[in-house]
Amino acid sequence: MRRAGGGGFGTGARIRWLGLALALPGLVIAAHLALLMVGQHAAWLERSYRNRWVFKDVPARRGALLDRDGVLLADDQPAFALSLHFREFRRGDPVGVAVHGANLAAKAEGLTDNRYRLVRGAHGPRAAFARMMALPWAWLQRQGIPAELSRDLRFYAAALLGGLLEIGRSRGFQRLDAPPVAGAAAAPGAPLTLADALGADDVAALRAAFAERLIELERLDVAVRGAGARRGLWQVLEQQRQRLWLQPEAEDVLFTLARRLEYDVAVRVALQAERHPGLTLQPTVQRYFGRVPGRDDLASLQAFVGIVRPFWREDREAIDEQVEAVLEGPVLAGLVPRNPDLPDTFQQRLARVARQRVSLHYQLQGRMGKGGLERAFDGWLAGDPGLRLVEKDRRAQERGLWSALQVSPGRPLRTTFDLELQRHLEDALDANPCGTHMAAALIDPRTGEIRALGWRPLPAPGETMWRTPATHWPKSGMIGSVAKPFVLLEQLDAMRRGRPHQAPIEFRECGGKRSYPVRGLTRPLGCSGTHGALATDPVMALAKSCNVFYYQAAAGLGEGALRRAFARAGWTPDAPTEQTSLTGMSLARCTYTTATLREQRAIGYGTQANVLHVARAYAALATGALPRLRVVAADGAAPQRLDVHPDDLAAARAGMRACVNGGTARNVVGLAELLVLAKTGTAEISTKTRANNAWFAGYLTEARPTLAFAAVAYSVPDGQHGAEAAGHLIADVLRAVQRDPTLRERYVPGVGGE
Amino acid sequence: MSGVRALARADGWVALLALTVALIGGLFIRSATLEDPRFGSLAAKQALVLLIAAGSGVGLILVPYPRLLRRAWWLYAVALAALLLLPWFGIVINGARRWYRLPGFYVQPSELAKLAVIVALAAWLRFKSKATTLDGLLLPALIAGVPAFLVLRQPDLGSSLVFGPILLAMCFVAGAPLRSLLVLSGLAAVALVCSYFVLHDYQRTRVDVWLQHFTWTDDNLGRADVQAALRGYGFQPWQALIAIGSGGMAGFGLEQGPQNRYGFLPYRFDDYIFAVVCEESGLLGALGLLGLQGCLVAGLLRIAARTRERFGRLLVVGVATYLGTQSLVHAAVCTWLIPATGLPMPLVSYGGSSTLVAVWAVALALNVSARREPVLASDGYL
Repeated sequence: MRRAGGGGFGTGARIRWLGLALALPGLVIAAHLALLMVGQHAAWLERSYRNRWVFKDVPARRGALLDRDGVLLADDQPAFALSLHFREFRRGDPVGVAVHGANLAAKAEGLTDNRYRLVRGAHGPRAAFARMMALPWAWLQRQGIPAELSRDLRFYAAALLGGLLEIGRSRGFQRLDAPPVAGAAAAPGAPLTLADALGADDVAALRAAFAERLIELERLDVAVRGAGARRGLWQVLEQQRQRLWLQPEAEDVLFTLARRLEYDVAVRVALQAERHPGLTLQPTVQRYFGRVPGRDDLASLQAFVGIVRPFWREDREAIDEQVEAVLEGPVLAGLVPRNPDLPDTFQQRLARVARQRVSLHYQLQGRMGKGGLERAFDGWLAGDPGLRLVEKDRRAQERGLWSALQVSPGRPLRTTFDLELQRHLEDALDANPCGTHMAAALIDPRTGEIRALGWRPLPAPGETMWRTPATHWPKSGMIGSVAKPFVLLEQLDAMRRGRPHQAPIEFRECGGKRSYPVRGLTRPLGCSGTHGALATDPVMALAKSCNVFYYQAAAGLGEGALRRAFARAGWTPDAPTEQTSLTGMSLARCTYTTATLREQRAIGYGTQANVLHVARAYAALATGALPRLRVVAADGAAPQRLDVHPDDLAAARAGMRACVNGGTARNVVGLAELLVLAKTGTAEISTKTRANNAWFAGYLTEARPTLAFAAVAYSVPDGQHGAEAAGHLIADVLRAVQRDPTLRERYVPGVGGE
Repeated sequence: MSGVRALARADGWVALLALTVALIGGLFIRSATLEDPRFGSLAAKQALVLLIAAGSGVGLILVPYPRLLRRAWWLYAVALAALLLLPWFGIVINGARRWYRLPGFYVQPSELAKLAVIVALAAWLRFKSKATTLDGLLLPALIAGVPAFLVLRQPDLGSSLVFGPILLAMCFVAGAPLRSLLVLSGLAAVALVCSYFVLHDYQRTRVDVWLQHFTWTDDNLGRADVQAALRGYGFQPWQALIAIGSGGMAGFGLEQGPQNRYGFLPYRFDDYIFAVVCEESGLLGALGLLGLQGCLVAGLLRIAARTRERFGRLLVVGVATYLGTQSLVHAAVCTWLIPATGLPMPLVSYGGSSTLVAVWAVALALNVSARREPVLASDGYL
């Protein structure tokens, strides 16, 4: 029945209209749903995936560096990095809350809102806490100040109470909403404050808790500084606080406070995580040398091994290369799942995100060798990070795995170093300071494997020396008389083969200083001793290091032969025997200059080399073949024969034996006992300062060469010779070898202990 | 009429529809709380509330609804008092003072107020003469306006918005002239626009972000201000849109929706449960649920249309409008057609007070359906 209503409708009609009125928005909603869920489904599905799909990188453990026996030189160990999320800190940590709340209170009073700071001092956290306690109670009850300010102040006050009393922020709010304690009274003429309302007991508890929090942060500050961070905790906190004005969004970015936190500190932070809002621990790895950071008994080896450092911004190109290497075409295709519901653009985007993730991995966690072996073998040691496409929930917890690129850990590298021998060398270097720089090398004469390498002075901790006194030379690398055995070999070879030469029998006798006139020189050359007829005996001339013998030999041999003599030792540039690098590491090129008088070149002037070059050359005297220096066993070519007659080689060895037994090295104790064959050398490098390079080189043992060595003290004062400066250093090392049963068996078998 | 006869005469379809919607709600509440240990017990609690609500609802059907008429103003006064006393005795959760804490549970008086306003309006408007003039609408406007204002002060913008449509619908069905209603609606619209300027900051920001989001495209989503909005007040509605849009035609399946399972969707078991429904059951499921709600409202309106007695009819109209409006606002919030505001979907969302009141409201409608032609001496008939 239709009845006339006020608007001309019957009730039934009105109800139908009402139904229609309710149905219309329902239809709008249904249409909108259809648009979202069908028309735009792909876009929203992609956003859903973007929400939860994330690439997670898995850092690769860097391969360990080992000595020849497999003893660890350097390896990765788990560590913790400490990061700061400033927003969480200022809203959750009572100290951050107090400072920000106090600044808000200052703002409410019309003062600057940058009054209280996260630094020690008059406007530090303690003052901020006091300001918070003095907050007018009315403000916290939304009275007397703008509602927005009151709301923010309530937040910080509740967070402060909740944090310090460990009751949580919501109960902090409840505390603010509860009436003031019984008998709460304001000071005369002052409004009721938060402290008044809370009561003396609560305020005392809050004050004590706040002081405790400050102490905890102070301890963390110390720990952060101790972990080698450039800036302490307080410094970073205040810096982040100041940045709020310029870059508010920066407070959401994790700031790394310390990359290597001590384990006990990390455990403390982890166990008290709820007491340190905003501070998060992230597992990481740290490279340690010899297990203990900063150990100095292997200091030069540590410097030779080099350090591992994070990638820098400038390494962008290197990072891009790494990313391409890790995510080469098929690998990336395998990582990005195909989903027919998703547009191709999503797959492309996912691939781009994967690249960005790996790039970010290298930027944040990537490490590269800096200097030394770590750099030379970086590709071998570094490994490749893994990558996983996972589903994560809102709390960033992993909920599922879609695809994974297995991590490729770095491979261990066994070097040729003998850790014990190295330790003795380091001790000897410390015990025999001499000259401006010192260097010594001990190598296996058969293979060229470097067993020990040391130098002084050392680089500063954490620094890398690109040019060490062992691989280069500081000022002048003149080798002096250690060159003589090779000139002798050439003299004997020329005699044997009938090449131009002057027979020693025809040599004039040695008359000492300035006894050997040379055409074109105003002052005659001479010898440090007066060796008389020994200057005509090749063996004794070598033993006594008689210059006059070598002047005459050089004069008879001629330019080409002299060059050949040095080339045989690998000391002339561009010779086939030259070695200019050491498995990717920098090694100084020897210099050989014809500008120097030929006679003087015969006694080692005009030729510059380092201890490695010289040790290598003496290895050739020991075995008859010039080895290639190496730091990794599997690396390097076969030794190159010296192409001299064994009798000539025997004569040179006899000279070196005589040098130890009664020649220039006779005063170096213990060499003969260890069956050492050696030669001293003293090169005058400056007539002005009268400084010398003092050399000592040789090998042991004669019958079964196990070690070739060279040592040098650069720029020693005039009067100090190779035997005293460098000879004693080597002798110390060899005596230590003799004392050590393992090393004795290894390097001087058949020789008794000391 | 005996109680058993009343039960037998009650509208079975409406009861079945309400039960179906409530069961579907229970399923999705379980799905929305399954993964999070903090909310693991909510589905069981909701089941318990439903049982209690159903039991008390049956009780409500047994009592002839005209008796309610005599207690309408008492009920209204209690509801008003409960709202008025909130600032002193209510507790604050998430910055809003909407609840009383009782041992073991919380009570939200704004939900009770909706039913009380419906009963009070029905009681007032049962005399047709009171609805036919503009002046006559002033008191109904006050009856709905005072609780709405108190609810708005809590603050609970979403709930306060429901009172307006209930008032308009009941006045409209009561016979109010269209012109008067248009004036009333116009005033309400002006008040709504003006309220923007007196809203809390966070509410205003929600409106601003809502307006901004219509300009968002894939190209500008990465912009800093958009990202800030997506991390702030835009987070919930944006995540709800992702859940809804990614659901597609058939959805991910019950308990399989990633936005739901992985916690990207906040308040997913109450204020955003429709987004979970969309994500897990797709467009078909979402339209199905909306269809069921629509059928329920239509069933209620059919009861109203068949009821000759004005108090009962208006009561049912009020219930239908309350359920329909609140469901629509909830769905519109989830799809971000209107600014974000927290409002549960009746019978579907988790919430003790909301569920109890919704079931009681349906029970009242069933009560009316069971007694379509009651005798109410001296009360104004058509």
